[in-house]
Amino acid sequence: MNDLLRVNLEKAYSSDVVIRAAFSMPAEEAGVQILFGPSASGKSTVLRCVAGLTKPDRGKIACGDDVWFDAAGRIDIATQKRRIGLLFQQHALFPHLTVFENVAYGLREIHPAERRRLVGEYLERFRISECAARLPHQISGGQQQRTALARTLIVKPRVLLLDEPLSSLDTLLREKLWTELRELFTAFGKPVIMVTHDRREAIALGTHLAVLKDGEILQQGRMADVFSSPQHVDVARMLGVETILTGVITRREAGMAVVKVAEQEFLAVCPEDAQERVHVCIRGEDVTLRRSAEPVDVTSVRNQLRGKVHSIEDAGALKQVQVDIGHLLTALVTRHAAEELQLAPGIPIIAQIKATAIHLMPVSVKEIQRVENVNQSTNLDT
Amino acid sequence: MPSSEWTVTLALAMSTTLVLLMVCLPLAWWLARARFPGRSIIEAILSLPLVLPPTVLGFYLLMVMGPERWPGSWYTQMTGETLAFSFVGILVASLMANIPFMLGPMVASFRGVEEELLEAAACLGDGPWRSFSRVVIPMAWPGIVSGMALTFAHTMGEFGVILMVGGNVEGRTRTVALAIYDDVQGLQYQQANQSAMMLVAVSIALLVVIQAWRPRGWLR
Repeated sequence: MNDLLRVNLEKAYSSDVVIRAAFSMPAEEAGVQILFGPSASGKSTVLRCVAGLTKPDRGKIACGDDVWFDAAGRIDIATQKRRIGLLFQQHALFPHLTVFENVAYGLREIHPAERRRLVGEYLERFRISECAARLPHQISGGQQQRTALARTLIVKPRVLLLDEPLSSLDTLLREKLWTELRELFTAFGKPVIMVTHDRREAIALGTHLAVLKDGEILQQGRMADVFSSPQHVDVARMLGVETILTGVITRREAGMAVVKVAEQEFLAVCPEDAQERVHVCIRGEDVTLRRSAEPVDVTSVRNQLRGKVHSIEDAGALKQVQVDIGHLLTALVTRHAAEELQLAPGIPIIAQIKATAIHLMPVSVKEIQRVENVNQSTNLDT
Repeated sequence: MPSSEWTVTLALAMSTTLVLLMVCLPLAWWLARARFPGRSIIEAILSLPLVLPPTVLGFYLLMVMGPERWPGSWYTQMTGETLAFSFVGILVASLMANIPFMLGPMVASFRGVEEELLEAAACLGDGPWRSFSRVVIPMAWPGIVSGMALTFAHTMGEFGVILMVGGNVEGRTRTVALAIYDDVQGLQYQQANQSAMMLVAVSIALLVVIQAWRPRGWLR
């Protein structure tokens, strides 16, 4: 008895990119595996391979005791026999069928009365009863989304696959749908694999995370683990760590390390496996700004860095402030705080960061050169 | 009043439409989906009857339908009759001449069916045949209907090809279009006008059919 959904595949994407992915998850439990990465990182291809719409070159895909694909055993079960539910980016509703007929599409060999009852139940549950008789182009984007979900879930698939399901909707609606989707995934009670390039969506919906770039999984694991300790500088950058500096550990004591980056020293929690050279990762929201220094408390594990405001930009409800401390350090502050501090380019400022908020990450030898001239912020969403 | 010309014409138009429907459905689906280097050449060859002068097409068809040459010789062996100047002969010619009229609208409408919809159907348990009948045919229906109507109308009025291959044999290969020509030659204008008016009526009726199947809101 095997009760895992196992995916292990290799697929040549273009002449120079080979997509490799391997992960597994319980086949009879709720769990949301996020495939996260920029476009063309191969995440959608992985999803299509699980669905049977794209054939991998090598590897094995199995759900419980059923082997769906095995290159060595020449097994390739057709999509229609896998019982997977796939939610397409553009919903892929049948344009010639009404909402009711779309939802009912996958129900076969079922008594007409039972079919009507079941479809009615799902229309009700997904709040699309009032547009049951309309064609897909006559309903709103949110209703299309819910129709596609109802159509997918009514056939009780063994695995639910979602390909950037919310990308066609506007931001406001998207965030509202996170809560709904989370509840839905829990109620579904089976594995969910979701592709996204929106890290907030990943955090909001996932339990497990795999970060892909150029066809390779750079890091995977539990959502919180990957987010709190990225093992790779690309992962850190993709997950929204705004400041990544490279430094050298000069002193270690009592689980803490002092890292020297140019003329600045940072106090941080020292990971056990830290080498001499490390990346210093700091999230914008962990940096607080002050006009004057606090009285220095010797026991405080807090970094106080003197610098000058370099630039200020709008970042949604927040302001993104670049502070020149010899390097550029990114801070995210509220508009209110920015006004109170009377922030303007050129004014002296003190940046504070708790030692526990600084994440140190080992530097691989080949990375050293590449990373040293990059200490500008990157934002994946823009 | 159904004279033998009308019987021949309607029989020819109906059998041309039905046979081409069967042949072109799979052919059009393949042309709409397949991706290979020679596809545009195949499409060009299949649309040749659109640009070829009917008499030229008819001439070459007549050449291969005679009893001396294959496949005409083979037909004569099998049936004891010549393919040229027979109803089967003009049917074959009519099929050749009408391929692009049936194929064109079908290919265009099949291309309008997004791949993603077929994938969605597969995820919902449908194999290729089922999704073809449940998604492709209903979505491409307007194109299929206009292909049929165009073929039917065009066959009703075909002149050059039928004359070359069929030779205007009364009761066998003389269609209404040929009869009109004969009537005019014999100065029977009254007779010619009657037949012509009937053809106009049929053409208008077919246009109405095509219009009625105009794509609805989801197709533009």
